[in-house]
Amino acid sequence: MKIEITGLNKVYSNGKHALSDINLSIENGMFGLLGPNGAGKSSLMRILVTLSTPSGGSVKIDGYDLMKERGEIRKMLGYLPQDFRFFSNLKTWEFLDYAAGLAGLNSKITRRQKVDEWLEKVGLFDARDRQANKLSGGMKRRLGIAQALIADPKIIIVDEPTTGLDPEERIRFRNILSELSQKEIIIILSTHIVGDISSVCRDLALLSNGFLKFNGSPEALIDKARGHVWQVQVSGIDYDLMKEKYAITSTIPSADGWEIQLVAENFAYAGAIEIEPNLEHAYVYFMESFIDQ
Amino acid sequence: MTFHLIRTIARYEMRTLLRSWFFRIFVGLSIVGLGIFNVAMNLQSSGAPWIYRALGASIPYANLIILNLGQAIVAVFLASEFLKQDRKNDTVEVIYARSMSNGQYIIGKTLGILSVFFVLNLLVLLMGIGFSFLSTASSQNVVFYLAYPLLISLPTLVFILGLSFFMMVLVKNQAVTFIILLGYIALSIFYLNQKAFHLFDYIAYQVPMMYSSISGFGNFTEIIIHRCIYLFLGIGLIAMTIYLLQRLPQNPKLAIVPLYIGIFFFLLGGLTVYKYLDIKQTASAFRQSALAINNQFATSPRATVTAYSINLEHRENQIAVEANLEIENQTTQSLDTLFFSLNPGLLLNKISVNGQSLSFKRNIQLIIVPLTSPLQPHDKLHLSFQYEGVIDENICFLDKDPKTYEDNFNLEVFTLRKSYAFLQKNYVCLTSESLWYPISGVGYSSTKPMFFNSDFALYTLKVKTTPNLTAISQGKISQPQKGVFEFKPEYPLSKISLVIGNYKKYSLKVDSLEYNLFTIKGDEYFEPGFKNIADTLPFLIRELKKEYELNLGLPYPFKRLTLAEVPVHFALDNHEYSYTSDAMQPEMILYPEKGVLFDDSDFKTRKVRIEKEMKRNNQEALSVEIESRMLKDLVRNNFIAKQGHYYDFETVNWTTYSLFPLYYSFITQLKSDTWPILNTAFEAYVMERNNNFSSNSQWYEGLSKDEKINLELNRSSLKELLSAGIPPIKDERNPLLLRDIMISKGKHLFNVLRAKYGEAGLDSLLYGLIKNHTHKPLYYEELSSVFESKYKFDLAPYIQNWYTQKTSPGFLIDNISSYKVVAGEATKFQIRFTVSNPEKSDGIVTLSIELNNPNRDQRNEEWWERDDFKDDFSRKIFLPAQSSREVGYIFDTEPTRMSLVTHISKNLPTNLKYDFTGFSETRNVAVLDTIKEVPFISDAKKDNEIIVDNEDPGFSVNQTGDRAYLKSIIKKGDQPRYPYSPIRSWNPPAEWKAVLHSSLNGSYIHSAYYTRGGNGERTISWKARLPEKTTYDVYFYLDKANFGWQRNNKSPEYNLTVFHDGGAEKIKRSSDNEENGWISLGTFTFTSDSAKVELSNLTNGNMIFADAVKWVISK
Repeated sequence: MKIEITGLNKVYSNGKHALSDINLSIENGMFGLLGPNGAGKSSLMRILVTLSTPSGGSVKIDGYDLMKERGEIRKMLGYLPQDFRFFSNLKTWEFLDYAAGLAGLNSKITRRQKVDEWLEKVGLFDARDRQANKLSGGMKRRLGIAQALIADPKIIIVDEPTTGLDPEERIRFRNILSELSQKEIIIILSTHIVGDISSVCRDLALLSNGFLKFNGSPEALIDKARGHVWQVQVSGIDYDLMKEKYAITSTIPSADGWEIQLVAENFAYAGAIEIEPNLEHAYVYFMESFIDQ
Repeated sequence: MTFHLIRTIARYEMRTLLRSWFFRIFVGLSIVGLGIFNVAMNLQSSGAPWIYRALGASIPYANLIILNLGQAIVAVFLASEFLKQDRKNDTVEVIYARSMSNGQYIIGKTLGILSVFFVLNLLVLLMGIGFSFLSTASSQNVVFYLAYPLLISLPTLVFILGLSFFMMVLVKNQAVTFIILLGYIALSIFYLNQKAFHLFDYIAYQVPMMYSSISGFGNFTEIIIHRCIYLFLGIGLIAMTIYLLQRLPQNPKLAIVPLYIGIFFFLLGGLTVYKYLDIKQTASAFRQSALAINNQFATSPRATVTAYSINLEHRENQIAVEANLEIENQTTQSLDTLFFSLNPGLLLNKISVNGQSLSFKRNIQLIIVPLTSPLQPHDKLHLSFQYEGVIDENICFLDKDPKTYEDNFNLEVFTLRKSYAFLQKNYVCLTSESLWYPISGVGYSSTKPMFFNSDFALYTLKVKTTPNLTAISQGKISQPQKGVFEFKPEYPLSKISLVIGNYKKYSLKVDSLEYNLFTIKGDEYFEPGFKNIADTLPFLIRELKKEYELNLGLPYPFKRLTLAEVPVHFALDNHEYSYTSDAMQPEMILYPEKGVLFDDSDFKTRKVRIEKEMKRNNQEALSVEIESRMLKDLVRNNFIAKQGHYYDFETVNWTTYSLFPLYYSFITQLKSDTWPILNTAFEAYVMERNNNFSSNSQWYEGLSKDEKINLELNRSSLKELLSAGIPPIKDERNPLLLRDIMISKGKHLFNVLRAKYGEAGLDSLLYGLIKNHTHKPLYYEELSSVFESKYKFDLAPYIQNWYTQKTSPGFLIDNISSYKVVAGEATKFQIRFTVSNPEKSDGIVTLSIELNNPNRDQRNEEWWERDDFKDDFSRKIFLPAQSSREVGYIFDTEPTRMSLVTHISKNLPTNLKYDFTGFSETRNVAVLDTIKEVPFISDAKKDNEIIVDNEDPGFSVNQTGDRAYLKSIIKKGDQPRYPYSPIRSWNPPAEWKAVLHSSLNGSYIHSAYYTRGGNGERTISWKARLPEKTTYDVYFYLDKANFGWQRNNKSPEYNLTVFHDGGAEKIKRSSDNEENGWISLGTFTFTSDSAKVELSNLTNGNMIFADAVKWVISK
């Protein structure tokens, strides 16, 4: 299973360039799509799930051309959009059943088994007869995940999946995805929360203003930030100055003021120590350097 | 896979729809509403028309029609809701990302909505069938009712769903889509649906789908075509929605396919539209051509058929006939060509004389047979016609204007296809109108509408049909073998008819007259209702017959009377020149399926009502008594009905099923080449001479038919009217027909003679003539010679004047007085008045008096059954031209009202009513109890006074008013044909309008102008040229308008201005302080010769009347 994106462009009718010359190759496993709001993540995902057409370039999924063979591609898809709140008048289980039916699960028995299985998996079994519209935000997200995964899709595309989830739910969600990522499938996870992908993504891409800024493994991204992350003890006044000047990734109050971590191209300050960067540091470093450019 | 996806989408669409409160409320209201409606239609006490309980299809059909009206609107909301929701719902993205085509998605959605509606329709239909079963206790034909949801709802829903989807994807705004669609629905329901043969009626309200258990749907092909239009257009719109849906197509290569499908179905829809209009227009054009032929040959000399011998074989929906005709040249010239008419659906194979074929030409209905040797006067010829085929109904009743020809009719909520002829495998009903046998010459022509008379011929008819069917026709029946019937009428008839069906026969002989009743097997619902009067039946029939003949003065001339049940679709048209509807045939009444058009055929309900009524009147409700009354009511209200009887349906009136044609119209014809209308005139007189009915003004029109007739006859002579016709007036509820004028003029012609020569004398003369001409025509020359010999009266100039001149009599009533007199030992009530006819034509006035009868109001009549005027006393007053009579009558009981009907005259209104309020004074004068000739008073006006009435030249109207702008644009230049309006006191007009009423001032025309009270923006003025320059008393004619609805009118004050030498004097008069009639405005001096009085609409009242002003030289 492979997704080949070549020279992909998307220009909206108002002239806005949402995607500019994106070239990507995505293989089995979990793929993270990182970027701030408005970077073009959703545009890319909507193209991948056949909801919108690119203005240029090509996308091949498992050898199928996205522009020509939507039917085959749609069969492989499981999609969870960013907003997933309003349902027509259906119960939780009915919505899943509908999704399973549309995904081609013809047998009523299989469908019901799958529905129950997934309700159990996402912890909605007790809410199976409740109106989908009346579920809490987190429950709706879980329902969204279940509907995307119910028919064992080969490509799973999830847009900002953990927004609005409490930590426990977030963990549960990550577990589901990592479990799935062991299979021969592609999971594309779009997010602006680095933590969502740090532990599970094999590869990631970084988008900003419609441009692909980075494509590689998280480790490669982290490597790029090595030597640019610092930890330092500062007084209150200095803290204010540094806030202005550097991208601060962590702030912990201490006896003499603040212990902060920051990302900078170069940094010199008494007592500052260089530390090993993590993915979040790398992301911030990368975005900062992009802005600086 | 394809179907699985569609089913999945449909299933979830259904589920969502079923959970929508809007839909649930609609379903609830529909089921409850229709349930209540069904119960009400089934309850005898609800007063619902019998048609709902009589016909099995009624309630199912009504339910579906009503439901469809609702669902056609609701579907718009639901359909546009779904696409709107789709856009709002972000969850739809997860669905759009699934592998399915746009077609599967939209089709699934559509099927989902359709399935839910289909279940609702089925429920409503089953409810209808259930109730229908309860009331008709028959389950026959139930399977046909399943066609209703398919024919009514399916095309409507597919179309409106398609249209809503399409508009929604096109406009992309739910509110705008709603406005457009609701506007379209309103337009199609209230306006378009009447246009272009109901083409735009997508709801199918006007599509004739009533099902008869005898003959099925009226015209199934046309129904199917009409419904296919909307089905195809709907599918086309759905396909276009698929094409335009805002979702990337599954397969871009196939994305164009829905567009092609859409175009294909639009073309198919267009084709069905074309086909539908083509059928209708072809029928119309066909009728136009057929009429043109009739017009062309109407006066061509033709042979008379004196005998028919018809041998007919019924072969499913065809007939094969050999008709042998004996014809005679009864004209004075030799005939070298013969003309016949035969239904154009029948293929004429051969015409022969003595086995030798004749050549002939055919043009639609017309057959032209050139003769090698001409037929000399009085010569006879035997012709044989061999033909077979189907019946083309469009040839029937060409009287209807082909351009406005409408082949549907409505009963309650039902639309029915009008059928003039039935020729089916199991049912046949053919009247001479359908030309199923050849007639000599042509039928109705519009240029000579009165010219057509059928020949009196001796018929024999032999019919061969399927063994299980029964044939019915005129004459003595014999049945040599199963399925073969022979009919031999004992006397010449003007026409015969043929009915074949699965009939059950009831027969009874009373006084050597045979009464037959043929009902379709299964329709014997009446049997239990009459089980107790079997023994009294002959007596009842005899009594009813006597009752009618006493009034009519003619005996029944046939040997039998047959009632045969025909489908409810049977057309009840009648020719312009005759009273006879096609339901009436010689010896025969073709009564509608289960008597649905007669209120009195609902015997169960009638029984309960009569029982109640009898109990209320403390009568013992014996079964025999009740059943007798049911039978009498049925006969009296339908077969021997009186004018003015109320019917549930517009298609029926007192003449539709009247037995009268069997007493006169089928017996003889008054033939005149100069005045063919004489037959119509004579028929009208014979039928109505003993009826005292006078039409009353319709509150919504302001004029009665009689009044409109007078207005027409003041403008044109009868001859002119007959050739020019009356232009149809838009939106008129009770239009005046040429036929009304013919009848009115006809009655008047003979009524004047009757009044002149005495009732008894004239009637015995005329009936003697009818009796001597039974089963043959009566020629005008004979009538004229009888008048000449008996009365020394030359009819010709009288009739010529009646036909070509527009002179009418006119009546002036004066000196009405009422007082008590002592006659002998008793005190009696005297009424006197004088009546003059200053015109040059003789005339008659009918006087009717209503006496104070305290018992009257206790009669158990519903208000609609109560006649407006109960004449306890009635006299016809004959007034020769330029003569006067004094009329006086005395009564033991106090008279309360007097009415003078002026018939055809210059008078308006034609019914002058006077209320007597008290007979306080006793006069010691000689009583007058007769009509006395007095010297002719030409004019009641006095020398010393000048009256200016609103009909006079000195009267002028200042119309400035606040007439609504829009209304004034729409009605611009719209001059009404009749200048008088109804008096609408609940909503008087914002302009001066002329109205008629007995109590208003006037000589022949009692009229005035009235308007809404206001601030003086509208005025009226009366100007007079005064004969002398002196002092005058000025009077104003006041009418407080105490006629009906007056509770709205606060006694208005009148603001008048009298212009005189001293200038203008404003005068205010409150109607509270004045009596009706002339009220004094004061005495003024006039030295100039022109005087003027002005009235403004400044008043505190609701409305104000402007009538007349009088100047009287002051003594």
